[in-house]
Amino acid sequence: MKLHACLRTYLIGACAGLIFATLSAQAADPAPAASAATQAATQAPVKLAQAGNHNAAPMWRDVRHGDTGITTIKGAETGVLIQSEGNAWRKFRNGPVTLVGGLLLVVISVAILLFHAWKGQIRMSAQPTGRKLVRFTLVERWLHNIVGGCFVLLAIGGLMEIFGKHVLVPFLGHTLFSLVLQVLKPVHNFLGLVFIVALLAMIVMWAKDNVWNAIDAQWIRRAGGLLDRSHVPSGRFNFGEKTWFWFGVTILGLTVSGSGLLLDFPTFLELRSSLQLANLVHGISALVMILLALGHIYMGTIGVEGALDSMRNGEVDEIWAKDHHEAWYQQAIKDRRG
Amino acid sequence: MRTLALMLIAAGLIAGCDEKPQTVGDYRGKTDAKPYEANFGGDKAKWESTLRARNQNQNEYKRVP
Amino acid sequence: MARMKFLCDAERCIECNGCVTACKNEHEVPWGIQRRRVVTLGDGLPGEKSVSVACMHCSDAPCMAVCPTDCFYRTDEGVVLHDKDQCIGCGYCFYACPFGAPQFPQAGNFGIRGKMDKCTFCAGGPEQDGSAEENQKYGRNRLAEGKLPLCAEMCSTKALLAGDADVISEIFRERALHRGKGGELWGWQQAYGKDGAPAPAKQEAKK
Repeated sequence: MKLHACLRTYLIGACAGLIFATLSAQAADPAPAASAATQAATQAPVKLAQAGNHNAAPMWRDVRHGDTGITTIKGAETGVLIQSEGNAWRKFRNGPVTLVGGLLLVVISVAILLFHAWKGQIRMSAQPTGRKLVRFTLVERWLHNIVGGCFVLLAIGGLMEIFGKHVLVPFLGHTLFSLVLQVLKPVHNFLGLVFIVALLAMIVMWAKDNVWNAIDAQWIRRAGGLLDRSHVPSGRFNFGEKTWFWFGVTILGLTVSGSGLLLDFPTFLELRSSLQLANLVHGISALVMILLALGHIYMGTIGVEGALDSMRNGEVDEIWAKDHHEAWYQQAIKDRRG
Repeated sequence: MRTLALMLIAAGLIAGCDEKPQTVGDYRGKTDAKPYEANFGGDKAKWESTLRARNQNQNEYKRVP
Repeated sequence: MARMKFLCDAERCIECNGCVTACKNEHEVPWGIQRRRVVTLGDGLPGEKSVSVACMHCSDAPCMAVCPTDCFYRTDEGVVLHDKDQCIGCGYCFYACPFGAPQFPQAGNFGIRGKMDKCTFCAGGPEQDGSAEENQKYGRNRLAEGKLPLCAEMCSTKALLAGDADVISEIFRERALHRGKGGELWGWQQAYGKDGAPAPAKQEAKK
């Protein structure tokens, strides 16, 4: 019971910003807070006495706002006649989350493509020397690619869940689309566990190398050299990668994982209002994570020459290391000399 | 020009993601026979009058003459 | 054309759960699924009220709006039905529904809920009307037989009314006039829109 309360607090905390938006959605449609139900339950006798007085309006108003009664039907919230939170959830999910989320997905994808067309690939500053440095060990690569692979599959499932109805159904038709989702939904729910385990291991593995230090100031000042195409010195991970690691992978990743776990075991949260909140936290943080991942995937594949090799076979050319991670390069050379 | 086209496509996609207004008789691609087809030979008026007459069974002011 | 609606007269419902039993039996609903339930407010107190509630077949159905596979549809009679073959058991309709109507055969761990089941206004589903498949998945299609939902038809006090909105609201209006009170219509505002369904007898009953 205590754990349950803690989790609810976590959920509420995780979406502090979200609550403002939900409140505005509720303002349009006067939906009460979840606590109104318990409040009204204690006041019920007064209202009911009024109802006996042929003035049932206050009682029905309370029912409209989630007043609970008793019923012989077992289960969570079966005594609630009308729950209004559902409509607030629907309005927010189908409104801002879908529209703004969809808009951002399209805009960011197009922006990345336009940027690539404009600036092209970041090339190495000289011909590769052929001398290689180990950038990622086998374990690191496997872990990263498990997390990445899971993420892509989970993202596809999640995006189809929210946008598929609008984007894919017109082409695939209801029958085929629902068949695809019938496969993807269990995949999403079970793969999430693999993702969480691999994600936690990856965070622990790379946390040390992602601690911010003085050299990052240069990267920030020169915007990573993305625009002027200069090479900014940095440690094993540059400031962009570190930001993605802490904000994208760690904070958002854990939020998505936590809310996803709660949604995976709905009997644990029980209340619909908690499930709705968990769903919104899950969806919004996942959408932001996908947006950031688009940038990460771009830089790791076609954005930077030679970057993909570091994840494919773990080795990078010395020129590449010197160009992009000079401090790390110097350290690696020093280590090699012993 | 291409940018403009891309923006238009984006706007179209986003607009398509809005909630569709719900109307009566919104079958959304499902093939369900009309209720008066199986047993009333497609005679909608007959089906409706049957239901209306039957509905009066729920009105006890009409049941007891 | 008839627009089918449910109407529960809280002044009359005696919490006998006959509607619940009728529904379960008529459609052979499996254990754990309750298409209809009776909720009593202020049990044992003066002015206690009971209400029988199931899917209200809303005009702007939240379940329909949030379903990821768009498996819901609305018939010409305004009955909200769904195609179980297209249901993925995500539970979103259950999150969104104001009345707690959508039911699932499984608890939902790892999101495995099975196919959603709910009141069909005794109108079956997309399968051929009166077929064994329809009966097995959605229950009996009484509407196609020219009958109305059994819960209302066998309600002992006629608290629960079901049928064409115009007809049942007229019955209710007449009744509220006779007794001179209890003209409030529970749930109609919620289910049938902001100004689409004012309680038919409210004004007259006050006089």
